[in-house]
Amino acid sequence: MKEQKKVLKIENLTKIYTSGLFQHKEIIGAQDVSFSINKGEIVSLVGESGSGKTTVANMILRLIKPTSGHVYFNGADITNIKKKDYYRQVQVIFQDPFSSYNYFYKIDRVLKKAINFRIGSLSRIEKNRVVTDTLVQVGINAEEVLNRYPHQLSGGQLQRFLLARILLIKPSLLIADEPTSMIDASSRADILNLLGILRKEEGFSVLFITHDIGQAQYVSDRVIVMEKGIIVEKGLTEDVFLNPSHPYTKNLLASVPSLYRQWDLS
Amino acid sequence: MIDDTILEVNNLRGYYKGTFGTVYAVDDVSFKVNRGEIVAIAGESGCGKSTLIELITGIPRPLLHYEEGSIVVKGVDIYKTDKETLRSEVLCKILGIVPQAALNSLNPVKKVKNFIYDVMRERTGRKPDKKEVNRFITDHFEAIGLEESVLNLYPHELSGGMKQRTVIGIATLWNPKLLIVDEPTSALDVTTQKLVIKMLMDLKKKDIIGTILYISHDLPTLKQICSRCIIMYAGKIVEDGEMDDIIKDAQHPYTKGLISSIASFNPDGSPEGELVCIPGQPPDLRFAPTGCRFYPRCPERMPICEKNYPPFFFPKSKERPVACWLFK
Amino acid sequence: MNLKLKSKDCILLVFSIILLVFSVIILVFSVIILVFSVIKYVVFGITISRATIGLIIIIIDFLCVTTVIIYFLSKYINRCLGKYKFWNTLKTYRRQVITISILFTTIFVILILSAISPHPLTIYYKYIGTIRVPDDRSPPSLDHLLGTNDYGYDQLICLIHAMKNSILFGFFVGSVCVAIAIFMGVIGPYIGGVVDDIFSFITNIALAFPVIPFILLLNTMIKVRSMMVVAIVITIFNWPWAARAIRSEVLSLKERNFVKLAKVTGEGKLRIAFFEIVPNLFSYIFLVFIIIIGVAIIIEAGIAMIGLGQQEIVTLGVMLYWSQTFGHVIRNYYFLWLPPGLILTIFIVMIYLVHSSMSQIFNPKLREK
Repeated sequence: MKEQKKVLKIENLTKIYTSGLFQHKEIIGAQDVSFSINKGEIVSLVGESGSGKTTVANMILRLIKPTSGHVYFNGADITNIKKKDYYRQVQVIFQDPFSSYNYFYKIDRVLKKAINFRIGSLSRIEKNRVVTDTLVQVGINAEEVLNRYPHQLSGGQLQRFLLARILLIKPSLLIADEPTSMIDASSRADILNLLGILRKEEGFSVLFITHDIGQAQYVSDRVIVMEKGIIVEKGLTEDVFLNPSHPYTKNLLASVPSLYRQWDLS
Repeated sequence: MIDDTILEVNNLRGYYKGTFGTVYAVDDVSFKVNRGEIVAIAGESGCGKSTLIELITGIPRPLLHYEEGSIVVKGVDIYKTDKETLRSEVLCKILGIVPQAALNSLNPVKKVKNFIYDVMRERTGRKPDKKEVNRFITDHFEAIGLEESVLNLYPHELSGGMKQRTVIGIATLWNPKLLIVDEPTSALDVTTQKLVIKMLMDLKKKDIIGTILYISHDLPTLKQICSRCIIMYAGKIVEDGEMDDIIKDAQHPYTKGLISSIASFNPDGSPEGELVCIPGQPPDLRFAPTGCRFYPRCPERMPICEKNYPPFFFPKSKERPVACWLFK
Repeated sequence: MNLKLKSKDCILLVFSIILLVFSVIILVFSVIILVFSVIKYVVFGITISRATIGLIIIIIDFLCVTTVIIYFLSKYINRCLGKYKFWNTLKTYRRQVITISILFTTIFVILILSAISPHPLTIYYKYIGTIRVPDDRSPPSLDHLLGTNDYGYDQLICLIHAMKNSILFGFFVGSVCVAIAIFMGVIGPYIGGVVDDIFSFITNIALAFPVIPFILLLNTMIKVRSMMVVAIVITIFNWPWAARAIRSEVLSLKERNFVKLAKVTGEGKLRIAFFEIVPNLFSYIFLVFIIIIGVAIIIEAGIAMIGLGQQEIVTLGVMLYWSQTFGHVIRNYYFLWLPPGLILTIFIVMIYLVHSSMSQIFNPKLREK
């Protein structure tokens, strides 16, 4: 069995928030979280609100410092990697497309910053060509969208624009923090399909964070289920969703409304 | 003769008017709800479902104006009764409404039972006797299935699911004939969602509520509880029929696109086939298009669709109306 | 509400546009005069008085500030409205256009008038018999349109210069206050930690300090009575509340996703603070600026009126001080006590109108239904 290259490895990551000067109140953000992501894999982090998924994502992105534990990227401890180099390899898409843009500027600014962040300088004509090619790859019509302000576009277009930004930076790991929860149902499918295409064409690995089990089943290879900051179950998608072993997972799967079955509500 | 129709809406139009112009939010909507049904109104954001509910209350907030059409609830024509009777008689005793994000409407500085005193005083117009009201509320909450201890708590001490159930309990205080719930579960966790939906089913079983009108954009949730479904798009109704039939065999191109773009959990394994997205966006309702509103995005469009809006047709082998020229 | 204009609105709109055009013409005319004075100096060696130099600097400064403000406002308004065209903008936001144009034309006109009128502190004399005495307290006549005051100064010229001085004082205090407030309000919470604690500590102390006792004490200690001292004192007491409000805005903006995205694109903290966060504060800063101008003018008038201010530059407060010390009200010299107070009130009302109409655009919750 060929050993697959581990892009991201997390060991015993913990984050405990303390508050109060005299009485220390502790809130557990995440406790002893350990998992790994291989190259070219889409792994879903599933859990309800308050389960610690966003905390883990923020720790991987170095926006919060963990209380204890290590994160290894391509074998190296991330605290030893310079932030700029780290961000050329690890990028993020957030949940709310509308607050990911600064309303004061046009949306082109996002792409310009992304291109300038990439290594190597290109001439202006080259830059325009790269931008147009990337927009075609994500399925946006360039004339319709460039030179506009964020409030003139819809949520789905804004998220696809953020995916174009990711394509310009070409990281090896993408952390998608609930990218589809604020988009209409009929536009969600495109984002999910795009993630699959990006994985095939560019070889990205994706950490897909969601609370929607249907989307996790559709898009991911492996699944990690979290509850209140602890991992309760992890494994291949088919194994976890067809034969759940932990009672929390069983309860969760039984409570998900599905188009394919009816609840017995007596 | 028992009149079976609880709600009848005919040719309803409601527009938002402001400095931006006019938004034709609800344009010529007609449907009927009979006693004992649980009807779903499904559609994406911006299709006009919440506007429809605001118009049904009879007191649309400014910027939204009622233009024309009639809404008759159990014999009472909403726009022909005066506002006082509407507030004190119709809106609590015949019609119960739980608007979107209602769980934020509980007063954070009052205990739940004090909040309910205020509600009752406002509706009935006189100061209720506290002991009597206490007994009334406790009996009602017990009948619904909520614990009595909820009444003595402040809203911030309740969880999201408890708050939503409390709000539904308040809306059903006078056993209205029709309960309208607007997205009751969108802000809740999956496990609490099931509890809220179970509560609505119990209400119907125990005959506290006769009919429920459930508005949401989440088709899998709607399938669990509703028997009939009305699909709205861009301010108009496109399909109206039995829930399971619509999901298995959708007729209107928009409904077909919607069903095939939903990533729903399949307990029997990954679904075959790829999800297909509907390209484009819903039309800007400031410029009321003359033809079918789905025309720019429809994969099966015809020249006639651009010019005239299709009336309801009945496709062969189905008994439900579909607004599409394909079924002429 | 539809876009049909009523007739009186049309008249107001046309009137304010005419005023704007008129004042722009006067402005161009006076700039030409000033340019000639400079050329006279450079080419012929004729010196121009210190006051004229000051005025040139002030007018150019004022023009720059106004241009910047109008530029950002128009950008902001265009952004809020998207596809709407310029004339549509003017029609829909006629209240804002009217208030702003009235305020700015008044300021322009005052500046120009003060540039072309003689020095206010010139004494006019009259003859009683053969003795020459200062022409004090004479009622309005063709020579002196508002009469003369106790020292023999022409009241109208004093009033014009007083208005100019008060306005410029307000602008000066306003700009310094806003600069300090932006610094204390943005740097502190953005860096966070101990720096934030120190900055908010300083802000809270300055906020809670009692103003009038401080001024009384200061007056007993400092022998020098000059405009600078008054300006510094008023600046010290006006920046904290703006800094607090800016700080709370920054704290909420810090959590937004575009700031996190900027971090993840490798931008430094200071760059993010000034290019991402501050542009979102422009609307608030504009409103704060307008309010501080009004507050500074009125506080200065109050301080001068009770005699704690300075006497070397004529401002509205100094004129009110004269009215109070020389007892104009009791002796019924209406032309001496009425104009300064009336002009002060009108000016504050104009500032308030601008503030309330602009906050309708900037604060979406207040948008008219």
